[in-house]
Amino acid sequence: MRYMTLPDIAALSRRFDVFETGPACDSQLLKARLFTPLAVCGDDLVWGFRFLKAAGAEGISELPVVQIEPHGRLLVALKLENRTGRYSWKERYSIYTLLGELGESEDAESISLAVSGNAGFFAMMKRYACLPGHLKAAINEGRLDLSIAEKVCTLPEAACDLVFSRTGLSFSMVRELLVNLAEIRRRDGLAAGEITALVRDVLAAGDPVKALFLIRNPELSGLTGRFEAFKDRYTAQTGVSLKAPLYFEGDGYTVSFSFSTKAELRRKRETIERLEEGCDELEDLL
Amino acid sequence: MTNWKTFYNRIIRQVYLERGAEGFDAVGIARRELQNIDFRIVSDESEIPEEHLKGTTLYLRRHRGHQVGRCPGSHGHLCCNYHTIDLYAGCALGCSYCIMRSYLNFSPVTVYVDPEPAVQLVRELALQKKGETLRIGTGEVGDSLLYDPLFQLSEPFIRGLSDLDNVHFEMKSKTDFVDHLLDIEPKGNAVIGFSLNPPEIADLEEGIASAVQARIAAAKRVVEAGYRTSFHFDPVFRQANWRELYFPLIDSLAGFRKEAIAWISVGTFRYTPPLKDKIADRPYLYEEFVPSADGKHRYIQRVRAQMYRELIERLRAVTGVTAYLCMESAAIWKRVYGRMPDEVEELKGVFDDDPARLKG
Repeated sequence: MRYMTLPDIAALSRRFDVFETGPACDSQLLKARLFTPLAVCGDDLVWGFRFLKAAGAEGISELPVVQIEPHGRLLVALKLENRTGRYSWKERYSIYTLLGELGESEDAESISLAVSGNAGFFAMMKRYACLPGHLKAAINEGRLDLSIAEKVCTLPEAACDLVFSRTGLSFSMVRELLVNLAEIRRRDGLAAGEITALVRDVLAAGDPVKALFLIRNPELSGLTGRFEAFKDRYTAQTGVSLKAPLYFEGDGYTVSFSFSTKAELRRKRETIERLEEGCDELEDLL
Repeated sequence: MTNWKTFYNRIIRQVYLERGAEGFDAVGIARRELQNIDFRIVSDESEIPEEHLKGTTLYLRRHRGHQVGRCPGSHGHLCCNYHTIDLYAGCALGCSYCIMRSYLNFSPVTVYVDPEPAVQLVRELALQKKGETLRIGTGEVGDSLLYDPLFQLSEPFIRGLSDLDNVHFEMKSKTDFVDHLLDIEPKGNAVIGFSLNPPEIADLEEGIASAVQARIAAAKRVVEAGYRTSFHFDPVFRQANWRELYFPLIDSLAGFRKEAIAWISVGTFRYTPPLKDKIADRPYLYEEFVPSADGKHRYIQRVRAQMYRELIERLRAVTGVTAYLCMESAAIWKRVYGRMPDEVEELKGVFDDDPARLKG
């Protein structure tokens, strides 16, 4: 171990500066020089960027450094960072990109374990790397997960931005909107401008998720519409409740009512008898 | 007719053999046919290198556990009393819609090279249920015939079950690899079945499966040889012109005698959410689907019922056979047949346990 001045350290290459978060450097420990030495390899500062920055702020003039071997230097940095499973998407992508530059001097399997705690790091980053920038950004910001981003990668950036900027939508609502939009675009062969216009229309509705669901599922929407119209015709203001099976998948409808007098019961019974007249229409929905 | 020797050179790249399984007949037969491939001995599948965990790898092993079982069916849906035998688990055909994509994690194709214990199990089951029909097949977790010319594993089942009147052993395939089975005697109640989709769909979605017309030609050969055949229209895809696609396919079965067809099944396309994640780019997913009681997504009930009615009517008109539905709800059965499966006279034998009703 030796000491290097801050300007000398700052002059080293920063290509290993891939960690954007991490525990803050305690100023008391810094002043007492109780901290891990920085890792240096040739002209690269491999690990310790946070200490470098904090030391400058504390007026410390030099820091301890240890020269390490080129082979496995990224793995050393990851071990010193010690945040397996807690790296942000941006950090993971930087690590993945850096690893591509470093090539065979690093053991990919060990890197994967150090970053993710499993062997899936590279497969996941390959998928992430294929995404357009706006979806990478959405993942980085926690607005989307990777599998949804892959499903919606055919949507133009403008359409996604409109959805992301709409206030009052939960994570799952955004997810449902985008997936349905992507499927509608593919199904109907919509151009970028057309799908963006559709997004505008849908977001203008009171309940955009429902509005888009109706467009994605026209037959189911038609059945729902016919059922609602039937209910209006036969049961509105009667106190008789008529329910269809969920998604019109199932064996039968449910009728329920309550009553407290004989006259009330008679009125309900008359409603049920009227329902019987329209039963063919109901049967046709299942 | 597909030249299966050339075919295997394309689809099999590695063979791993479980230590202790070297002496089985099926292994010896396969070694002779795959002389250009080294059979590597391993203690278990964990020794197969990661780069070989794929469909072009075969893993030959003995079966442990329950090789014979009831078809798991589907929650909330009616089961057709089918029993399954694990013989070939996994498949290299590459059908885009295959449900196994979402639940078979071990991607090499596993071949259980020791058929005798399973044959004995089926025999015991059949003798225990002497007055009941036992429909049993090897096509549940893999194609029954894709690798069968190579391992000849169906033959011990055909021969070993041939004296059991109540057993209907079915091999189900999307290939035309039947010629190695034609001369087997006695055949008993063995059934060689074919999964069918219109060529326009099969060419796009069924990977390297044999051409549909080749499958139908193979069905004719097995019938001429004395087997009964079966047809499985599953999955049936809905698209704007589905009638124009499926009706001519059904019409092409007109040459089969009713007695030569053991049964016909029909099932519309369904998927689990994990399967959808794996096949998200397939255009047939842009139809409308709703979740069913078993968690699978199916076409809207009203749509399915209409498709089933028309398909079953056409099948009945062309073949004389009343098809049954695979993994469908009681509501659908009532809408399609007007009653439950065990009340449909023509399906007795499939859905009840009287062996006399299924005889050819």
